[in-house]
Amino acid sequence: MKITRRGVLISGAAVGGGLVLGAFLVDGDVRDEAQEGHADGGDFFLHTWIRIAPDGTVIVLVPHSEMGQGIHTALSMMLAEEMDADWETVRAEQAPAHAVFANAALARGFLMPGDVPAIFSDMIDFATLKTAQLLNLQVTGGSSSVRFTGRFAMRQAGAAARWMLTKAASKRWGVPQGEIEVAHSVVSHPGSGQQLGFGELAEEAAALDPPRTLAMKPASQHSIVGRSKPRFDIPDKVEGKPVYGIDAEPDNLHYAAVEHIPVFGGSVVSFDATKALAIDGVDKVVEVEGGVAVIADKYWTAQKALRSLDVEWDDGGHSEVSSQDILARQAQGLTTGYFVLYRESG
Amino acid sequence: MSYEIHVNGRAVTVDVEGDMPLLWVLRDELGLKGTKYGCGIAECGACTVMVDGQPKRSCRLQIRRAEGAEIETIESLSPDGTHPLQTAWVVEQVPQCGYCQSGMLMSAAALLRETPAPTDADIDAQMTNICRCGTYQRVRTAIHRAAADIAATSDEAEKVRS
Repeated sequence: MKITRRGVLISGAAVGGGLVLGAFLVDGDVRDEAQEGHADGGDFFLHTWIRIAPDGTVIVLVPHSEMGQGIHTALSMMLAEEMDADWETVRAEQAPAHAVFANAALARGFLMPGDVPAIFSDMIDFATLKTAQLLNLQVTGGSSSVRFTGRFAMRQAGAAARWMLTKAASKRWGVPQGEIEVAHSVVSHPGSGQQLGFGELAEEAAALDPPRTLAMKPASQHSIVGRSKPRFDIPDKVEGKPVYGIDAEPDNLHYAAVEHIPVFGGSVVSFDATKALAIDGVDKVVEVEGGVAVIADKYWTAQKALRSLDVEWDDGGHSEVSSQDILARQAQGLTTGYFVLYRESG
Repeated sequence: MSYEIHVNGRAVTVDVEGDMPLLWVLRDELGLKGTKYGCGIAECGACTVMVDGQPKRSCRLQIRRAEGAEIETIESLSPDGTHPLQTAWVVEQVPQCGYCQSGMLMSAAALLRETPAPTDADIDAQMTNICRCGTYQRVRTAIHRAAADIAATSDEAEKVRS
């Protein structure tokens, strides 16, 4: 059987709920890399996206950006559900911008030829396919976080962590893993009355490799997914604390403000930057696509310096075009046949 | 030029040009980045702060005209996020992206100081901040909740006194 990259992507995604993806998402080497480079004192990674603190706190490292869509909360819910974690002890962190925390393991899984069943489902559409190709980056978009990372990866990660914790407990207590239960972050063996918290088992669990196939809970057993949970990102937002793009302070940051071409289709003929460049704090004046930009040490300086620019524009012959002109041209197009009829009524 | 203003209860002196908007003084000179730059033309309200108790669009308020004023920013609303408006904002899950919310909260705080029990009409009249996520309904609900919480607290204080 010839396996094309495209074929693997499609079938890999289609069977993701426990076969192909489950295997690669808990790749031990990647997990060790996370543990070595990113664990705080006493924390243990059970998966690149799950860190357990000594007190049992479950920290979910979400590889997608929180933009108010609630993704840090939603993906944590999906993971905690399969892990049987106590929701009150779960919190999310933005995964560091590092390949270990991207979906690199997932992408690698997609690209490895293997015994991939050629199952297709109607869920697989072009957008999903594109998303899969992008998963070795930390990409957020296309409604992919929940329906892809969440559905095919976070749930598996949670189930894998649950397996590792119960396996660790079974070894420590010398009882069959199948007799061990997990509820609200407590691992217990009802037969002997023994129980331990996630934090107490994390180190032993982290040394185990979970199986490739793990069953997901049926929806009827969900106690976190399907409920409305307060979003993790809101408390900071009512204090003005989140760092947006405009708030970032990389070293040696400079700011640009752009004087845009005033007419669509226009262009810059020439500009005189002498006065702008004389302003304290202005570094450079450059022509950019769509206008002329002033670069300065502060945004306000750049913006203010725009007023000192002397730019000669070419209007491309469009400065007299009005909305009426555009409507008239559209009406004319309808009579001359340069149109595609999508719907006709009346 | 040197200008003295009082920001969140602290006297500060900044050495900037007199036409620098208060917004950039707060963000770039004082590092108070909770106040956001939105439209730059005093329309959207993302940059709203209180100036002598009044809500102002700081992106169009030149520093020379704010000299000596008492400025309050989102950073001063409470030390720990427990101002009744902040609590109500969390309970009602108001923000989405959150970019406009510092301005929303400062406008709402100014409203409640003047009008402790605002009607929907009062809220609509004062809350002219623009939110692209469309949080308006939740903003309104949260303001009512905060107003009720403040009233309940002062009623209790009244009972304790009498």
